[in-house]
Amino acid sequence: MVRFLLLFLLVQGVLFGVEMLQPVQTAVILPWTSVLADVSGWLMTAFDPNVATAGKVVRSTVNGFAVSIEPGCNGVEAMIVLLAAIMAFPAPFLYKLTGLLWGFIAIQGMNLLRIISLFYLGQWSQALFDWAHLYIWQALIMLDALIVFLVWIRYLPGQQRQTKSAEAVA
Amino acid sequence: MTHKPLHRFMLGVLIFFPLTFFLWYVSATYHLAPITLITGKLVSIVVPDALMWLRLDGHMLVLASNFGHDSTGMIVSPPVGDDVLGFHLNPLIYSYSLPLLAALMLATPSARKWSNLLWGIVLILPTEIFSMTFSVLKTLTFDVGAAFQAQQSISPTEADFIALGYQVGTLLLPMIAPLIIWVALNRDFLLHLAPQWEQSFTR
Repeated sequence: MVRFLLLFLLVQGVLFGVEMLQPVQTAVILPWTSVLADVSGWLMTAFDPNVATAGKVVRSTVNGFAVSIEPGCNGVEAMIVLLAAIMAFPAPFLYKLTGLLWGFIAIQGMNLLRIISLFYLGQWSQALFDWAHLYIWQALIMLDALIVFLVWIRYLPGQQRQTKSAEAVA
Repeated sequence: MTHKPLHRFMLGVLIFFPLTFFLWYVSATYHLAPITLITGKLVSIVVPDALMWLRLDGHMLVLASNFGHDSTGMIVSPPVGDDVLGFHLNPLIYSYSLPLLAALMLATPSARKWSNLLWGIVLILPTEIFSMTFSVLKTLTFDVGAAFQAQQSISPTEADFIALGYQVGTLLLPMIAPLIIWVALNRDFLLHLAPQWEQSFTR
């Protein structure tokens, strides 16, 4: 337990340190954030033609309302937390990669939902936007990462056999 | 333990999540009070003469610095007359870890649910104090600015450290603290989910 937590904190500390470096921000984080803005804009144009994106900004062409995807809102931090937890957990390497792939899909999918929901919420009510943006979505994204991790450890290879035999003994 | 612990846990989180967030928001004045009190004392020790007072106004944190403008517009300390540089900060941006932790604790099938919840609240307090302290220090360092840095002899490296502490306290700690505390207090549940983990717990 202590080993897992220490390893988790170590991997996370290193990755967060790397993430904050200016070259990494320029080469990875900002382009990724722009991709997120483009993808969310593209998804929204499927049902709303009045959406435009520029860099990390998603804007309404009708009323000028815009959201800018900033650090902490691009899902990178939640991804780092999940990556650290998966790396710190004793499991086969390939299974770790599978977990990371599903985690990436789950977290970034949820993050796209966050961006889109905030974009429309902000045009409707500033108070609700602040509430959802500052508190609710932050917690939901972390919950998403936690659920992915719990599902991942639940279906570890060999786990079902162990669980069944434990139930048979009981 | 139940037959489908993960399903039950996820359902529990969905039920408790809105409830704990609602309670957290309406009771903000109460659960933020001890954090504000301790942070105020801590900041006064770390950077003496920089803070006049730190108080809650509803769920907003009001920071009255010991700085103000003189007749030429320069920022000086102590302030001249009633012209005090004050700031409104939102402590809920890092306090949301509390309802998140509470929802996780309440949703976990455990015989020690309530004692775990109590322990969780106690253990999350230092992280909130850390976040609030660095939020106040960041405001003084960068919003009051050069006058504060000169008064406290803060070097550029120390200013960077304060900025990093603020980033950690606002972006990182509120996200990971509830998870770490929840994992630490719910070993049995995690072992039930993943019996293979027994080996890593015994190390």
